[in-house]
Amino acid sequence: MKSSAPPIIKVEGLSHTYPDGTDALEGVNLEIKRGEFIGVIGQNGSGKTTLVKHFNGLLKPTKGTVLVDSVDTREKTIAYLSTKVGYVFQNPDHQISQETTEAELAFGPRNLGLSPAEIDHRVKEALRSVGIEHLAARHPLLTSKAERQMIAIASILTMKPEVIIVDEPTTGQDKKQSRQTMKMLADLNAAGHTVIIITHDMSLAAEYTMRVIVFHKGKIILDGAPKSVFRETEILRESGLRPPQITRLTQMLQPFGFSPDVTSVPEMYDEFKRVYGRS
Amino acid sequence: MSFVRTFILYIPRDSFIHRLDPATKLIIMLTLSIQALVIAEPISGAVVFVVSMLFFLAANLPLGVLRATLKYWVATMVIIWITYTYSYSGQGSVLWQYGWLRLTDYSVLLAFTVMFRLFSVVTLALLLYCSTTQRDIIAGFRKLGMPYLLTFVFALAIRTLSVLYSDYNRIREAQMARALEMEKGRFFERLKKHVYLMGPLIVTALSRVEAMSASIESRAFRVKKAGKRTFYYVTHMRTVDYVIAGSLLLETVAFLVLRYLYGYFTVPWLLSMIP
Repeated sequence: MKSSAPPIIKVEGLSHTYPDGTDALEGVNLEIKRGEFIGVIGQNGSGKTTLVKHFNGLLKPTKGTVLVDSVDTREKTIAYLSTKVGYVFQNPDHQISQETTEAELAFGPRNLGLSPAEIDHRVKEALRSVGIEHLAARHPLLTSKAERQMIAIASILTMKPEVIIVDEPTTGQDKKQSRQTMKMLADLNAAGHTVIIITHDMSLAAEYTMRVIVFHKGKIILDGAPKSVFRETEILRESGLRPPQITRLTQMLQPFGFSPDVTSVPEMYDEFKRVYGRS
Repeated sequence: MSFVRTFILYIPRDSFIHRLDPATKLIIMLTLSIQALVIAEPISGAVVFVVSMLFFLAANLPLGVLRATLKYWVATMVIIWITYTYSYSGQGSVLWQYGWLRLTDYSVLLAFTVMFRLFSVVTLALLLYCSTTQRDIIAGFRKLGMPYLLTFVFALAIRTLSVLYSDYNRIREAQMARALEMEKGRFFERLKKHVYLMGPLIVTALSRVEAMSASIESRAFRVKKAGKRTFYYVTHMRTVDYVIAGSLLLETVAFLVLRYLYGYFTVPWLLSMIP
């Protein structure tokens, strides 16, 4: 992707105040380029979800602008924006309203008024992309939590959005299921989708994303590559966050010659080899 | 979700009202609501509404809470005006008449009375829910002597309603994110779209109820308990609480005596006061 290409999402001076007077966002500026895999992190109530709800028009700015593919979200309906930005909610059970997985996946395209042939094509494609063809005829509520999360993501894929936002993609899943979900999101990113995840899991953010945005009290306090963000331990601590365990360990070992930028076990292994000079 | 988001959720503020004992806040709401409901003329009704608004302002709550309810207030006003002024066939001097439609001075005054009643009660309910946590509301009812069974059922009800409404909004947003246009179409078309919300809402509600009943049972809960029930969370009234609660209770008693024994605060009484 050329760096001169316009961002898929551009946020300028965004502030949002809820009707009860809560200031959820204050003067947020942000650009998201096509093909990025972004992790948005922060404590509960820091403004993460409020921000991403502006991307598909569920919320409109109190001040400032949000441009999606150069279009002001104020001027478009949620239905229109849903074909640009797909949003998977934290609890997949909140969206399952159909009796089979196939019908669940067809729900969005039907709302868009697409032809039956196009709907069928999109459903089959989404089932294949997410690897849940075997669930096509099953009732979505009779599947596991991880499978329901896959179904929720697939049902967003049938809208053919360029950007996919997933709120807490691994909540309630064991380690193996979490890895499957994250690998699937990484595959979607590799296939050209811009992926944004909201997460509390620093290890996931470090391992899978190429950019981490840290929110605190409605403002972006850090924005950059995971390694550079997790180096800012003091700023993270002030906002109630801590780098991944492996990063904290390597930061403690810094006096012994270790790099403070390690974010995964394989990197730590390489760092041990470098420091102790053995293969 | 603007209105209910604020209605069901406590808004923390460092205000005089927030610091009051929950029982005092309940007394404020109950006594002023009683006054608003028994008053049958608009001037005193307006006074009770103004007093309710002053309490609301003293709570330092965002005016957005009231603004969010504005459309419901306007709709209510329209309904009241239509039903009370143009279809009222009681006493009073006729100001205007067209066929069976009749507008009298009495009916106009009564329409204002009903309007102020509703506005006062709504303002007071918002004041209570926005300035008091659910736990405090329950503690307040308990302190005022409500039987434990009723308190428990009420506690479950307000908690469940709050949680369900919040679930409803999330489900609505999740379906809208898949191009379900809830606001588009005629009334029945929009109503039909709620089918896509009801399924997930029922599933979520059942799952919550199951989890809650299991968690209650697993802690050996019984509504009827041998011996005196004690409570972990107890609130304490201060002098200011006794002064406010006592004054309002006395004032309400005086109101009731004047209203029902001497015929004050009615439209005929008001008209008799006008020279």
